[in-house]
Amino acid sequence: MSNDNALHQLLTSVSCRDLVDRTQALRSPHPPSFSPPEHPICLDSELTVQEACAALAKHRISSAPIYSSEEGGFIGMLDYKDVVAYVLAVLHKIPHDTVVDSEMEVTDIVKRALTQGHANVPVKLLSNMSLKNPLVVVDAAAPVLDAVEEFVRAKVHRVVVLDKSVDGKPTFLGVLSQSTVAAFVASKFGKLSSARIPGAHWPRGDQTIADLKLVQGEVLSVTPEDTVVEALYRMHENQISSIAIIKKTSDGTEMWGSISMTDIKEVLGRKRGWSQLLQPTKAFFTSLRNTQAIENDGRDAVPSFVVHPSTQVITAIEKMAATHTHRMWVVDNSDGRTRGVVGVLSLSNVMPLLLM
Amino acid sequence: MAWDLDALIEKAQRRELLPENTIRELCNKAKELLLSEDNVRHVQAPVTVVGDVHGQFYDVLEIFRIGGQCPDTNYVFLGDYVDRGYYSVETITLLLCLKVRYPDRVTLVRGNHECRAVTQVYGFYNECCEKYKGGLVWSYFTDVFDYLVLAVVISDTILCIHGGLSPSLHTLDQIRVIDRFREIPHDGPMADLVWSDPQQVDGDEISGFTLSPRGAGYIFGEDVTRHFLEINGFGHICRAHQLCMEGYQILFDDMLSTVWSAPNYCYRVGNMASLLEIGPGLERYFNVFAACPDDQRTSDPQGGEVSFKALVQELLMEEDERKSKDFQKSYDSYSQNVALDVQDTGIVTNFRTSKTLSQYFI
Repeated sequence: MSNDNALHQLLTSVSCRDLVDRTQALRSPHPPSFSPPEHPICLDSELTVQEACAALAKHRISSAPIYSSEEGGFIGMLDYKDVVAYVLAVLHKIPHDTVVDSEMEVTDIVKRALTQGHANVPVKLLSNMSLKNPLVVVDAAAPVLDAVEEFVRAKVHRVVVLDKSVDGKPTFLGVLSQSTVAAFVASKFGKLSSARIPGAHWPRGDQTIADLKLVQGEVLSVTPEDTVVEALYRMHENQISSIAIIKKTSDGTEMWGSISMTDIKEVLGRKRGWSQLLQPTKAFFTSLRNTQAIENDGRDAVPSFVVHPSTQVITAIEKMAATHTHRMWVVDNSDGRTRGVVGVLSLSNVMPLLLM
Repeated sequence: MAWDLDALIEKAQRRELLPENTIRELCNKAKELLLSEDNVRHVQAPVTVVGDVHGQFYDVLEIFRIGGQCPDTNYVFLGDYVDRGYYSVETITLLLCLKVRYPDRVTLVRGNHECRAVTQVYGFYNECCEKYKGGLVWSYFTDVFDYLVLAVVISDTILCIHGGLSPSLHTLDQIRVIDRFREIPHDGPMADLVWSDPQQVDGDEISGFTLSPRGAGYIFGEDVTRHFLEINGFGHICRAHQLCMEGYQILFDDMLSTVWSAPNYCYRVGNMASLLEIGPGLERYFNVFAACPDDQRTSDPQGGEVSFKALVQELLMEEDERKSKDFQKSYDSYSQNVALDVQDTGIVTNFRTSKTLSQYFI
């Protein structure tokens, strides 16, 4: 007897607090690169951009809430989209008359950066520059389903979990991200998972990417010769967090690799890193992949993480959880050999599926 | 133009780049040869199995010094000849020359780096373009990669593959029917053979297969390994693909082992490397070695003749790091070295020294 409501039951019976605790407990069996930070990370609003990026990179997270002691609370979320928006603004790529949701205009931020050096821009000014990730809060006792609804409604990738049970100031428990929820679903419903719920069935997960009409047909891309700034700009302009590097060959196109917003940490986290922005995407991508492998005990990964239109959604989610990435490129394999990219399946596409 | 393989091998050993036309000829001859080889190649012990070398040319020369020159020793190379090291071109050139010259003494298995997508990202493509001004030579080599075999069976007992097992492959026959003459696909049995990893001992025990964090292939456990060995009547699986700090790793109650042959990987990891020497009675011995010394990396690869006095001085300088027992061991090795110096020249070649010293470090 198949239990079609198993997913709904799972998401309503587990609280946000449980999931945050569960993630923080998963440390030793996983290789160092995948273990979550020991304490929930948040950033002081007076940290400089450089320090904030270094903190994000060091803890291998892509976002953190910004805490202002002046205001006694969280004033926003910093994630790499904000940093990219900042970088582009500084490089005069976005128009200066775009007003941002902060007390300073973009022009002032840019001026300050250029005259006093990037080291002197406090992170609080960046917190909502991209307008893409407002701070969304969920209660620790609320079911995970609420967090998923927030992901879809507010179009955010993560929510801040606050424990309001104690009277007075709420306690910051941690950040609940789309990846955590997806990994949780993968562990309970994934075909290869050792922790899967026996007999449970998630019908939507068994459908293929093509069935659910998630194949877009083509994706936004850059060529291997375009610069990194160009790639960042296109991502910013089109409001996407990752872009494919596609090479035109004599018989079609070939996926060379991809660049995502989080790669900006390679640029800002180190000295003279800004010069990498003017590199061609292929050189940047190559050096990224090579360093990542050394950090993973010499374990090389495939250049691009792909699935096919015929892949089942649950398998794609399992693969995202296993590789610790936020998206899978959909590559056409209808005749067994072609390599054209026909779409991308990201966690943001997956979240609404969990609600259906 | 006369085709003299021995002359080419000599040039390759001196790290001389062969002309583009010669590379094309070499690759064509290699393809002809490999075309007639089955996906699963059967060889007999004694044989020496070599893991990933990744373009570390001087360490490959060291391998031949330690394991024995071709064709005196039979070799099975488990793949990953290119990428990351500075001399991928010279490495694959030498190995292809040796394969064409001694086809029955050398076996070349395909690794996950022997494909177009990976070599474009991890260094081989760039190296080819730099050394040969253009991507044509790269395409000659990657075409040959499509022909490399997928597995080797030693004396019907030891299975050798680059990566690991696949949920789609239960028997050897299933490996035999794969169409291997193509670029490695993103998934499926051929991808799994070159990308999979055994589960590491410090994790929770898994049963069956789980998805690999590498984005291709699987992670497999002890039960799957035992099952495969039983069904196919094998005693052991030897593979490469994963860096081992000690040069090798034995897992699953000796059902599986990993051999890694690139010492000081990427010239910075500081790991040891090893060769798996399989004797006529199928005895397995991991011959561990360190990176080729820096002063031998740029010039004459025949080098390695050091004076006995210099050896003594070098070892005496590190005396304060040793306990007296260790010093006694090194002293013994000096006497062995003296014994090796049968012609009383005062010179003992490096490979002989490393061979004797290596016994103390296992």
